[in-house]
Amino acid sequence: MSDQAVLPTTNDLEDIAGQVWAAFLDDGHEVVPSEDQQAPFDLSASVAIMGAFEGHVIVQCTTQASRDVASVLFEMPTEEVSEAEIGDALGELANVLGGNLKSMLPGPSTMSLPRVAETTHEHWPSTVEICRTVVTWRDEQFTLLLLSSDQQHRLERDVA
Amino acid sequence: MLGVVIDDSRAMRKILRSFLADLGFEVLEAGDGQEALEVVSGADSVPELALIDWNMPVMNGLEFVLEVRKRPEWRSMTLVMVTTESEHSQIVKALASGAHEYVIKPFTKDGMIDKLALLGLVPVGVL
Amino acid sequence: MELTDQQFKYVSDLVRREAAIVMPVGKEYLVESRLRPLVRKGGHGSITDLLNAAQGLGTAANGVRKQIVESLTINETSWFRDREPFAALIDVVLPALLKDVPARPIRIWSAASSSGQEAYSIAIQLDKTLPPGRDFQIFASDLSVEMVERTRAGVYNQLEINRGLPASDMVKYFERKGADWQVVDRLRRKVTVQQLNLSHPLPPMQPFDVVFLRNVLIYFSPETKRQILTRIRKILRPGGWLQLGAAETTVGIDSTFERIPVGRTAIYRAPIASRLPVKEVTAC
Repeated sequence: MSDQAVLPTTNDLEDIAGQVWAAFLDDGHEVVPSEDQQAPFDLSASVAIMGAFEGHVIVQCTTQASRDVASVLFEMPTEEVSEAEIGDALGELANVLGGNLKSMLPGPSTMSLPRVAETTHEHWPSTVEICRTVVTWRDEQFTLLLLSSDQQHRLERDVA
Repeated sequence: MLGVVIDDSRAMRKILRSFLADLGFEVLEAGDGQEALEVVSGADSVPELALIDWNMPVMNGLEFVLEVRKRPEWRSMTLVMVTTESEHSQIVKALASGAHEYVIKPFTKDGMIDKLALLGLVPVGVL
Repeated sequence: MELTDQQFKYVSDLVRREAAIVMPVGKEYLVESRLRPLVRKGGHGSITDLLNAAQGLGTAANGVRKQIVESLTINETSWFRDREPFAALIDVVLPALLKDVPARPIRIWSAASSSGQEAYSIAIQLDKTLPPGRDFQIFASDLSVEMVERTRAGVYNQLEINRGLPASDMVKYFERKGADWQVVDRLRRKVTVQQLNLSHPLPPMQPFDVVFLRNVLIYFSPETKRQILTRIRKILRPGGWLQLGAAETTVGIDSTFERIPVGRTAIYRAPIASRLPVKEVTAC
């Protein structure tokens, strides 16, 4: 992978998030970058990118936030949303964000199917953060992350 | 008109189903390419339209397109990729494999209708 | 929420009556977001003031109603928006131009280019259609400096690029630029962009073969409409073509244009006789 590759930035993450929310979660509430860049979460949806770039795209949020997402996508009351629907909705969110980010990364590469897990730990061994943002929608916060498993990125971070 | 929505996300199938229903389509669903082959085989008539996700378990959307292209009796089916895969090279590959159109996720309802209008699949009077 | 139920019902009834478009309950935020620019543009104090101005007899109220309907029915960001004007360009205008006009570049003006989709849609059509050896120049203008800059950059996000642009054109005429897509250099070089107010006299310009002036006249008074059409007629070559919006016409405003029906729409043609003023040349 070339050192010159221009990697996505926090701005790109926010642009893509803005479009994803405007298209699929347009309930009259806008998604905006959060002032607080540390947000609580107990769910984490991720896709892995494999190929010329190796890494993960991750969406983290609380169960309550994921219920809101699922209730808009499935057009049903929040209290009726099932676990399966939460997993489906949050997984698709990670998939759409992941695909858009992948198109900005060095290619060719492929993307895994989304994986959704209950976790309060950020545990992504042997990775380095390329960009990250927290966005707010309906008073709920969503952490969006792009991590690289690339040795070169880790070295650059260590030097920095 | 008959349409088939192929996506492993049930949420996405629901969104696409409702768009198509508004355009007067009867809608079938499948969660992957293999299931879609079965659904289309079992349908009363060949669907006019298939909306096809790329990344799915079992059989992905590109493989589905290639399978459809092997069957002359399904020639009349319009194939539209609806996917988050958005590299220039991926779009070229899908078109070269036989997809007629390509919609990148995220899309709006207007965006989807615009694309279907290009394919002559939107009834007159629907904006 | 700013809109009352009664106001929303008024707007949805109006849009259904005028444009046969159904605006279901739940779309209040959409209506508000489309009306807000009209409030600003028209100097109304609020959406309520705008809706009050729309209710009544007389041309002023009629004009406001038209603006409301337009704002809710027209999506400003589509490629090949409405399609018919582009079909008319290819089926009617270009064959005539190729026959009548010598082998100089064909010049087209996108006179309210907004964020540039119309100008680049025309450029794509011409690039695909013109025979080898025939070139073209597009001039794009807009009142808004921000829109002029957007057009010049030719950068569109994923939602914008999905709007009616065939995938085959997308891969041929656009390249990735980060999370967005940018018109390829080769096509961007054909499009010149400038800020311009149509209600003022035009700056010196070379004459055009075709002018696209769509969904602009509706915003102006009859007198200003007449002035704009006169200026456009003068900047068109004799026999040049004018494409208006679907709800607009020159009829009753400028009788020198000939209305030529094309499919469900129409295109207007400047008189062959209306030559540009030529200075008297005296023999020396």
